[in-house]
Amino acid sequence: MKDHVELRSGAYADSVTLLQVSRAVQATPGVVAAQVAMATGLNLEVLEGMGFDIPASSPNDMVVALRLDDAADVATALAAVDTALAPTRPSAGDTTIAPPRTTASALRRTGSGAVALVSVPGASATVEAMDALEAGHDVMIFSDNVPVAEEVALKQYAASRGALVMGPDCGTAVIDGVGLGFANTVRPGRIGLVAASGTGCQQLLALLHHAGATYEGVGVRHALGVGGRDLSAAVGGTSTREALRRLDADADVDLVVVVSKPPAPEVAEALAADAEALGTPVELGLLGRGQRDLTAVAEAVLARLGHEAPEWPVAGADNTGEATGPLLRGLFVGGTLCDESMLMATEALGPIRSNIPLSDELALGDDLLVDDHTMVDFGDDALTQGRAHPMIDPTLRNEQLARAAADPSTGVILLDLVLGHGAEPDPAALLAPAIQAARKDRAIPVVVSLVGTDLDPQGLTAQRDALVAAGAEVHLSNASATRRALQLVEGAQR
Amino acid sequence: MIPVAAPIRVQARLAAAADGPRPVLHASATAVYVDLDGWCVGLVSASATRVPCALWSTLPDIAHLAGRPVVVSDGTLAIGDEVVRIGRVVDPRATVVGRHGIPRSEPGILMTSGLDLPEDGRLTADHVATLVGRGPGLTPLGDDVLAGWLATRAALGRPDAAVTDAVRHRLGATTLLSATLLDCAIRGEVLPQLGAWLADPTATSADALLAVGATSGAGLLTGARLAIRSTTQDAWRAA
Amino acid sequence: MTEIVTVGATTPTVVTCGADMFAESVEGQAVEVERVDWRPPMPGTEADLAAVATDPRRPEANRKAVEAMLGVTAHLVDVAPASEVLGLERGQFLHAGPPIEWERASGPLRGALMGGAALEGLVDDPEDAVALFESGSSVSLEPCHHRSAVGPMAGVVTPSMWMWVLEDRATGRRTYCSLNEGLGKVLRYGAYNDEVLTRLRWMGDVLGPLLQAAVRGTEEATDVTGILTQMLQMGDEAHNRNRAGTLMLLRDLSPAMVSSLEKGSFDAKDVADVLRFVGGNDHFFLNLAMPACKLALDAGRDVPGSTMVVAMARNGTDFGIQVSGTGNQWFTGPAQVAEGLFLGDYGPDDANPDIGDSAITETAGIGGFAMATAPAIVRLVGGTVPDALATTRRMHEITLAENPRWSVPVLEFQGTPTGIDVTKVCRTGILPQINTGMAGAVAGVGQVGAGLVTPPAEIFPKALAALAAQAGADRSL
Repeated sequence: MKDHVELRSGAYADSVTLLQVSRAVQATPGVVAAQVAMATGLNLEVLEGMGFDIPASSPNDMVVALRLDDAADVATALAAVDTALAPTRPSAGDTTIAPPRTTASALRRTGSGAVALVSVPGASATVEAMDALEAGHDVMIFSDNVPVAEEVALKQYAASRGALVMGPDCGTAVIDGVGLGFANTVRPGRIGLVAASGTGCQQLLALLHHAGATYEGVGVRHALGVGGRDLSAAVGGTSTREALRRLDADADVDLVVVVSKPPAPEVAEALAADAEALGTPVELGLLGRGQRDLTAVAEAVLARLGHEAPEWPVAGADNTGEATGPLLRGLFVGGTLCDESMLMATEALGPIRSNIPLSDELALGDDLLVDDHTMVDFGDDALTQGRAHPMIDPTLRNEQLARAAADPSTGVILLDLVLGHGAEPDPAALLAPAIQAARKDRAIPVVVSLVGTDLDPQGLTAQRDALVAAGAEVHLSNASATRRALQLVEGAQR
Repeated sequence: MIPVAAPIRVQARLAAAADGPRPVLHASATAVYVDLDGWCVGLVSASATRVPCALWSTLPDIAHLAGRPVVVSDGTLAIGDEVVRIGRVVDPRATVVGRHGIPRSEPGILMTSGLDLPEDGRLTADHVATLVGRGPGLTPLGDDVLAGWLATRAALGRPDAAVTDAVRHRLGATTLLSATLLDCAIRGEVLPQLGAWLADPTATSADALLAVGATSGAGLLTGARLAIRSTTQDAWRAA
Repeated sequence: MTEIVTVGATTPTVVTCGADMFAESVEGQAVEVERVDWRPPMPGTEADLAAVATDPRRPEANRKAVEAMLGVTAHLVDVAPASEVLGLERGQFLHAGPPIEWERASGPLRGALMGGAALEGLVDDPEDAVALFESGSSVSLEPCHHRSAVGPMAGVVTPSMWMWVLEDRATGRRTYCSLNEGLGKVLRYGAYNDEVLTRLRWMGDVLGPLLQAAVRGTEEATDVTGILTQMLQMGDEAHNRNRAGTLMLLRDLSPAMVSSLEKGSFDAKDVADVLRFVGGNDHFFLNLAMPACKLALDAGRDVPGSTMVVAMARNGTDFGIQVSGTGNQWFTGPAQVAEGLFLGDYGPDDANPDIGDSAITETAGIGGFAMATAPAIVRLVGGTVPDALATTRRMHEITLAENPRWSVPVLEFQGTPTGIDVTKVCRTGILPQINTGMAGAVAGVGQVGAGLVTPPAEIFPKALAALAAQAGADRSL
């Protein structure tokens, strides 16, 4: 064991650097102990405590004190001191700006006017949404499973700040042409939508976009989702009211359409009064028993704007022969589309069994295929537990499609396919082979409502052609597709 | 793939265009303009002015596209091997005109002082003849004044048939980009800064408009003010 | 107020929080996207987070707490013995951190208490104090925080110790802190040998009275908050680096110290000793930075519904926090051992867990939170300058405000991250970053190193649960 002590006058480094230097030198092979420090009283005491013998010095001297193995080389250890004292090179690029960890933090980085889109698990959605509202921004909450009490609290707070809460469980919104969630690319027109239903909203977007190819100004400028519970008694239509106010204030909106299930009676009354007070006319498109279907709502909108309803496009009608059995099988990804078809089918065929039944006794159990007319919504919460929405992952529906096809009593298969932002890049490529396989043994009529626009990323025409080539008959209107399917089933029953 | 927002008519023109190459009129770090069958269509970067005849991207700059061939295929523009995908369609028409007061004593805009513009703002076919194509650059100053005037009259719902016709007849006298922007202006299609000033004429929105291009913003603002004055004079006379 | 923008006058921006496919689809529409790097919150906190988020009192309560905190200016108004200004009586001991009894006290706290007992003459030999504290008869322990005071490291205050007195003139509210002894073998690090006691006696006999004369003789009371503003622009973060602050304090007090010679209470040697002592102790100003921070934070206390942390403090065994909306309740967990560099032969095994009220600086938005302005400090853990910048930026993720008075030049003069939000800590899992000294684990050893430390994570969910329970109780009224 040997000690080496040297004083370096004129050398200076701050104590923190020197602590680090000492640690680095200590790690050098052969070094038993090392202390590099300015020769202050305190440091000299520490050095003496370590057993070093320090020559007379001033506090402006740097002391290098090394204790080495007998075999170790002093020069090597001193080289390690010099290396450790050399300034570190600055690292390239600014690695110090990390992405924001909360919605509040993200909104501090954007300007005013930004919209927040929250799709975290429902248990955490309220917290993120509050960030947006507190900062005075609108928020769309795609997440479901948000407790209704939290929805009420969010919306009451938003109302106090003049902000808009779209959701929870809001699948679709279009704000100034920007589609959020599952939304279609549309030509902006002079219609504003307020929608408590995602796929219902998408159906109207698609139909009005189609009509807009013929009629100038027909098209949706904004589609503001409000979430399926907004018009319930508990929530009281807070977001619907704010959405109406916004659309009314927009000079570029000539007509407002509200799409929702029938509201709670007291909410309906208040809504009617609110709508009446607006300067902009409001078309109430309520969905449910005894109400118009979505296509009829679109047609009423066109009529109000002075236009005749166009012929809603159908392709592949030649593919369809007679029903191959007595039963109708509806397999849907869109909840509102399933509802709409079920309402129409109930009138024509009687009760329909479903996982989202019109009345409790019609509920399906675990088996989604029973010896009765059935309609299944694969987007329902119970069927999306632990898997992606069927607009993204069609596996489950394709399996049921094969089962339905194998059932000899299946007469007609009714499907929907929804295009737009957020959906699969090429959903027809996944559905077409399943349709083809379903029709391999028997030419079961497969009627598809294909909800989308020619501007959607997937391309309406290409998707339609792929489905037609697989043997399907493709409608833009879900009501029209349903009517066609019912006509075929009724034909078989006669 | 370059995602863009497309003004309605740009999308429609591209959708209707036949497949094939198109000549590049102008390419810089912020914009590429091509001749799409007699109408100028551009691709602009995030920092460029969002003119109503261009596809609006969020790319900070598009210098790497300069010199690449431009091809239309199935309604989509491809520049070199980059496909320009329309992800959103926007309506560039100005429809809202805010409270502009009576603009009698506004400070003059230096650049347009030599253009011999009418005090009452009422442009005629004679003015059009002297303005179209007047000035240097891709969008001559005279055209900017006319574009500001035409777009503002359209936004006010008071288009002027005589001036519009005169402009249409002289579109060949200026650059294709400028002619296209005049065509847009006739329909009330504007760049966002003009739309914002028309909707809400504040010092901030005026400054933002004046900052467009070298002289374009000044020309547009001059034209827009003339158009507003021309209709205000009408109102006075009627009263 | 947000309104739908007409005619794309501004380019819309979308903030996405959750599934990335939605961010991608917005980008595909040529719209700017700011993605939140969202991760699940601390386990089991979801329901409490939602309850607190929707507590209607919270936004306004936090605004109020932040405003009150930012509105305080701390002036140095006096120096006086703890017996006078705190009413501390013989046998009463203040200590750092949340409440603790002798049985659970750590080595350095025990060492400091033993030294304190000898200083007060309760025992002759510090070692004899062990029996005294074990019996607990004529002695009592109480947190500094319970008496409007703060103490660095062990934070032991006895009646004869002289205290800085800081005042918020708008409200008359005051806070207190002992005088800094310097580095090395000092009482606050748990050392209690003769050298320590001799120095403490000199501090009581000369330093305290002379500082009192200086403070009372200085016409314009020193604006401690203002010095903090300046020192943050001079490379100090005011927790582990107080060099500029110390010198500015000397600049303010020296004239009056010299003038006090005329009054005959002190001689030239006293003044020279004091100037040398203060000038030779780079940490001297820490004991003013701390009560200034406490004064500001105390103004933010007791706002019902506020989720702002108003104190972080450690006693060497427990780390505790207090929150504005939950009054004087402490939420505690085990104090952690700092990571850093060690003096001499000392290593991690020699270090005591985190100790001291000095984390009040981080609570107020300086210290570790202002690391970007004092890059030298980051080397305590072998870090780099970018680490320092990243640390300050990261702290903005868990704070409610930026302090406009305390700005960081290298970050374009952005204010330091101020007002720790319990909910944001639980949401992000980002823990407050504290710069600290390390005391030896054994009583009597003194300082063994310095480094960086964080609170134990579990105390934040505990505080959150209390806030959630209150929110629920308030709603059911």
